[in-house]
Amino acid sequence: MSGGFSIRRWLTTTNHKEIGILYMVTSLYFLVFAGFLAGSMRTQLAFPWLGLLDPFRYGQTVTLHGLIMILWFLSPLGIAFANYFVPLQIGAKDLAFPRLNAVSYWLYLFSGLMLVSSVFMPGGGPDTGWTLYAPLATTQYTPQPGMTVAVLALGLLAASVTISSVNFITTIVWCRRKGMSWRVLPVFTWGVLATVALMLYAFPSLGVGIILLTADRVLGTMYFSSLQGGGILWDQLFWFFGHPEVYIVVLPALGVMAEVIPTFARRPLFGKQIWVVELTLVTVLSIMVWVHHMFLTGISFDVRETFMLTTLAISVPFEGVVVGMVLTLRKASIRITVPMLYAFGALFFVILGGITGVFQASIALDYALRGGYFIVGHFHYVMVGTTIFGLWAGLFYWFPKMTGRMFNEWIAKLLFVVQFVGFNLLYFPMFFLMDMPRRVSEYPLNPEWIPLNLLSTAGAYIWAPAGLLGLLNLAYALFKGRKSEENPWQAQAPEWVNLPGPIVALSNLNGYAEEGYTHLPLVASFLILLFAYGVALSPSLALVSLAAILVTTAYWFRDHIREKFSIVGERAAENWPFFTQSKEKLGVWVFLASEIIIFGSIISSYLYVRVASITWPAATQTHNLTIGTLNTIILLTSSLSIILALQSIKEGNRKGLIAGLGATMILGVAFLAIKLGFEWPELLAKGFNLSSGLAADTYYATTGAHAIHVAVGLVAVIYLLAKAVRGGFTVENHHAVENVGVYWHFVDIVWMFLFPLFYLI
Amino acid sequence: MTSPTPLTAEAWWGLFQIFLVVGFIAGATVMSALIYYALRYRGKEGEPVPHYEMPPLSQRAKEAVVFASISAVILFGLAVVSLRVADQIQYPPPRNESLVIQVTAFQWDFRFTYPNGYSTLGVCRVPAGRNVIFNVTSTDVFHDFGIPDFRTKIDAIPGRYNLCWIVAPDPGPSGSVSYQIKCYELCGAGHPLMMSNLLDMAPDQYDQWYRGTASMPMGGP
Repeated sequence: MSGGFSIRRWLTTTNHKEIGILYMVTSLYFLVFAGFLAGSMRTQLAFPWLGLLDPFRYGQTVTLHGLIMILWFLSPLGIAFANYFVPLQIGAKDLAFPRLNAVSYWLYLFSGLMLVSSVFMPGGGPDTGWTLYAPLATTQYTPQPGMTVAVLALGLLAASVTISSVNFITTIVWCRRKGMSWRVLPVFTWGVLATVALMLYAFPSLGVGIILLTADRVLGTMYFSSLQGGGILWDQLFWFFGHPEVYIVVLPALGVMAEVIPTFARRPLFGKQIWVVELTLVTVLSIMVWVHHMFLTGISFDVRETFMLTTLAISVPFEGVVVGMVLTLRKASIRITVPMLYAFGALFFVILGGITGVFQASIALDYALRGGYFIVGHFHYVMVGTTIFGLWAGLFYWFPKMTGRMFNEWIAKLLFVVQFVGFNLLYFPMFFLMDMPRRVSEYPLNPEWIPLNLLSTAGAYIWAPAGLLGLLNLAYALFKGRKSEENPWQAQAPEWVNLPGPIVALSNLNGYAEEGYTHLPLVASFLILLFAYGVALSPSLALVSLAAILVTTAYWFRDHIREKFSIVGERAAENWPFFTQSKEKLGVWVFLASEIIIFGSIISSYLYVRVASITWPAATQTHNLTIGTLNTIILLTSSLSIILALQSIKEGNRKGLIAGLGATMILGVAFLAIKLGFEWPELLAKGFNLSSGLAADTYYATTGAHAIHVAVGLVAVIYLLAKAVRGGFTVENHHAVENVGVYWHFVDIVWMFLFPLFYLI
Repeated sequence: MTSPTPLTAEAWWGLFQIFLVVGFIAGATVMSALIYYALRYRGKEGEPVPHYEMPPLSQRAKEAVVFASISAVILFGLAVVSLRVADQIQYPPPRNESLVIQVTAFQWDFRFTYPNGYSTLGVCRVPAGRNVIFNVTSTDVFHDFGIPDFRTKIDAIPGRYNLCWIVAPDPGPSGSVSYQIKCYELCGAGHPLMMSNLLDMAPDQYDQWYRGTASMPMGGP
């Protein structure tokens, strides 16, 4: 694979720079797409009497605009920079798991296309707003299959994001070059670390919301259509994810700004260590504020009071983050370049967006502001102003690094000014429209809102074309721009100083896992896409693609089974806080952290509807305690047998390994066979099925999710067994056994919670 | 806001103004610093970077603590005044001193049911000067019952009964004033037109109307 353009190369790459470029181009495509949606909404609101978009079309437009902008544009653009520059900043050869990185990208692209496809299905797409509030999002009120497709598209994205977060956390913790200690870790990488940690924490909750909503829509459970679960359960699951998501979107932009501002102020970020501490505080607090999205749902005053205080508290470290950047300018030697202008713009908007955010934190002011355009203005100042301007600072800052060419700076500066003016014209009037409800396509009784809407739309017509021209300026420079020097900004950050090379330099492709080019991630992701369509629309497609996924997985691991390979560990700069772990093991542990949230959310949902129910069938009358106990013993024994397998290979005993793994496999199969072969048919015969109420719904959904995990664990055990029979494990090389063992124990521990919750109480 | 709406709108606007003033001062301070530094410390392209001695971390730490303390004090103050106003807005007066109207939101309208069982759509008549409690629920999806001029609203959720309350001001010589009621939560294709009216009536006119409702046909379907 030498230089030059080759489609095959882009389809099969696992190189972090190339995947970074793919993320970037894809996210910009989604920006333009969702931007056109925004433009059509603004046009409708300026001239509502023309009826450009009827309410149903408007509902779909507003939904897709929100979903795509937040989840398929802003966040992925940050991830694009993270892909390209985190390894360069920390001196890693690539991400920890390059092929999984490719899977992340393809799942991201396919999920976006799947979401867009939902609108073209008969009956239209989702029209519930990006928050997908239940019960509106259940089949009774949105029967169209496009809604189910959109929900599953979101599920694919959640999978992509989870894989990404595991990958980046492992990379940043494990793959730093010698000397790259936490103390000297660049601020952009800190921003990315905070982002992916939040992603790992937040997305499983969305994932569970999606799983349960899909079960409701496809299988007929009643998590969100029943009064016991319903809208509030969805609200909790969604906003537990949704508020951290705001910070997931903003943090990479803050990281970029903290790189750009010191570079062009020509002095270091003022008090970097403190800035990082403040950033960490923001990240931690951001997971404790989600209820402020539900102040008017009738939850108790004490809860609201608490969440008002946490929401106000987050302003303190956040203000520190902003002020730290402003103070960096003091007594500096500032060069006004294009990236610096965008960073200034982002600072300006984060101040305005932050302060208007404090207004909504007040539970008293929320009574009038909730659901109106003041909020729309506020979050666009944060999401568009801070995040787009911040990320644009990165786009222009790193453009010469990525392409080796320089854009036309004069045009870019001019367009910045136009964008800045257009932006304020677009969003500032919204603060004055505070009584106008969000997500309405017309307001016939309030003609007094027309002038401000016209003004806002005029701003959109300035802002959007200027933004588009800015991208065209870059596109032109990509092909015709003058050659840039190695370090045109005289930046001091490691990606500029230490390493040469725009994208054509693919020197870092070595080692087993970093082979470089493989079609497997693309194929696997495509099959997962088909599976998602299958779940939404056609069970037979789901089954066929599931089988194909299994075959692909086997093919994927074929090389691993045949060969003896040992992982060549790169030396991390320092081992703290993980002293002796292999990067695979670290990856498994990080992944399990997200699994804990998954099961935590599923079990919480069960407890939520159970507590809200007045009557609930007694466990002893429904469930067969003998079978439950038998299965518990089986799972516990299997944990023991996999420990024996690991112990055996540590002592070099191959037969013991094979026996232990064999026993684990048999016990795992027995567990599933008893559950699916005896227990469930018996329950179904009793009339305990998905349409018989929440007791059955929660039982099948929760233990079903667990059974799927057992099945996945079984596949992994079978892989270990195949490799063990071929002699693939030795005393030194048994990481895979250990890692699968950790996962297997986790699945068993989950059962230890489910057994009492369903069989005993 | 011609006449006092004691516990909702006036208190709300007062609080909003406090936030506006504090927010303006805080924002203007940081923004002026930003603009001042950007103009004052411009360096020349190509010139060597002037030597710069990084102040010790302890100085930054001190500044961080100072800024954090200032903003914490300000935010705590805002929290305290917010809670005071929230108390006024949210706690309804005792039911036996109030007119309780059941509000049932559905796709896409609000149904108002009075204590005597009379039920209507399109307009909710209330007497001026009396406590009115709205007991709000929904029969299908999430809605939100909002009366923008009274600066109050509450979510309408299936299976839940949420309260919000108002005291309508004196309607003046005309005898009645109409306020808008709107849904503030996306609830499907009819959301933009999901609205109703609050008719604030002089008490005697209201009483006369209310006495007549016993013999009136129910409004709406």
